[in-house]
Amino acid sequence: MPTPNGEAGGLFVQTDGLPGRRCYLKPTKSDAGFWRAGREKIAADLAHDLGVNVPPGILGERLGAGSDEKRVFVSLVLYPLQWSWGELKRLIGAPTANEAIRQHVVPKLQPAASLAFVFDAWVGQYDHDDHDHNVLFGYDPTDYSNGSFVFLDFAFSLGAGGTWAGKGVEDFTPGRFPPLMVKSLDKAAVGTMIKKIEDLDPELVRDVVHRIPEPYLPKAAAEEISAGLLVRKSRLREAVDAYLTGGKP
Amino acid sequence: MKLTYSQATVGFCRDLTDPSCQPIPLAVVVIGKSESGGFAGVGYRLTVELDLDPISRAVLEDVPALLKAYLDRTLDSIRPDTDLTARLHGLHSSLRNSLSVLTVSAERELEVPEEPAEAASQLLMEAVRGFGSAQRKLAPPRAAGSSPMSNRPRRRDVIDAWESGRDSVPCSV
Repeated sequence: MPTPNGEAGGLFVQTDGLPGRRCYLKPTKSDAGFWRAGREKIAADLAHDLGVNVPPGILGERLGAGSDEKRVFVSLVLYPLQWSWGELKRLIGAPTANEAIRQHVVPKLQPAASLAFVFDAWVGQYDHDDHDHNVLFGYDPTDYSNGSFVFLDFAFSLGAGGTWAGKGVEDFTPGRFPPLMVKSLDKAAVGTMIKKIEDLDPELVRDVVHRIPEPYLPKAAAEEISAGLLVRKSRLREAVDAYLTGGKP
Repeated sequence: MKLTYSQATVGFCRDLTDPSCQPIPLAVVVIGKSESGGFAGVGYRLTVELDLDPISRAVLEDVPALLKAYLDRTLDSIRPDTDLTARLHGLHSSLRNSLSVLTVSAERELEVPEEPAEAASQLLMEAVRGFGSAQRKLAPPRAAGSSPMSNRPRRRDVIDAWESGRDSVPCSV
């Protein structure tokens, strides 16, 4: 087996359901009650409904996992070429930007960041920060001018570790996001994204959460997540506006 | 002088969606320790002309500097009891997409007469010499008569090794 990567121990795999395509599986390390796979699935499905570029995925059971985690999330590798944020930000932030990066990557920062920044604030994703690997830029080399930023790893979002318990769910701290992306935020696009989330049908939000099978997310955790998403949905505009105008929410 | 070292090979995958894609080896990094402290080095060798889009070309041309930046952060914290292989697994964990770590060697020991950085340069040159045939196999030349791409990367060699508090020792293959 290849050596797993990162905190949760993820690795590239193939699945019977999608022959000929590479996917990414996580976690392999014992989950210890974080319900990483369930959280990843909820975040990916909500992102899809809102047009945020998060790889789609399915829940799976890893046979023969031994002492490793067997409840996993398997997401699709979207693009033939994928460069990690840690590889690109050096070039984006360089005093003399490379022409290809300036022409084909930099213009994609603003639209992607404006959507993902708001989405992250809503779902309590604090693991993008300036993380070298949880944001990437992907594209097909035959159409490299149509690349997209991709946002990964929502395992610790949605109140993981009890952070949405009680009043914690109302604790908004948006902005833990790559600084180069925060600088590029477009206020109009941010406002549009907030409106999209505000307009989401609460029943859709509940369904996305409560359809996760119990082995991947216990009922109590599902209830906390769906209630938390609805509370934060109603407070999102205030929190993001306060952040962007320099006030504390 | 006795050196203990470990090395990793870094490769480039031209289609990450394809499970059968074999990454092309491009670079080797070495980290090590001796009685005089830590040392590290980067060897990068591209002997074939890959038909690349301009974004890939820009990123690949930055690979030696990217790896050197990682090793600079690592070098200062190398102590006599540092697990070198674990440090290179840290690099493995930080390159997860089109660039990835293909192999990490176990720790090895070597008796050398010269300074650690010079020994590291020799190790790196030896390691990247084998890249030529591997790269030709995985990235065969374009068919005769096909149009040349204006964005081909330059064929390139970089060997750069250094020690804590000492200048680098660049060499050529």
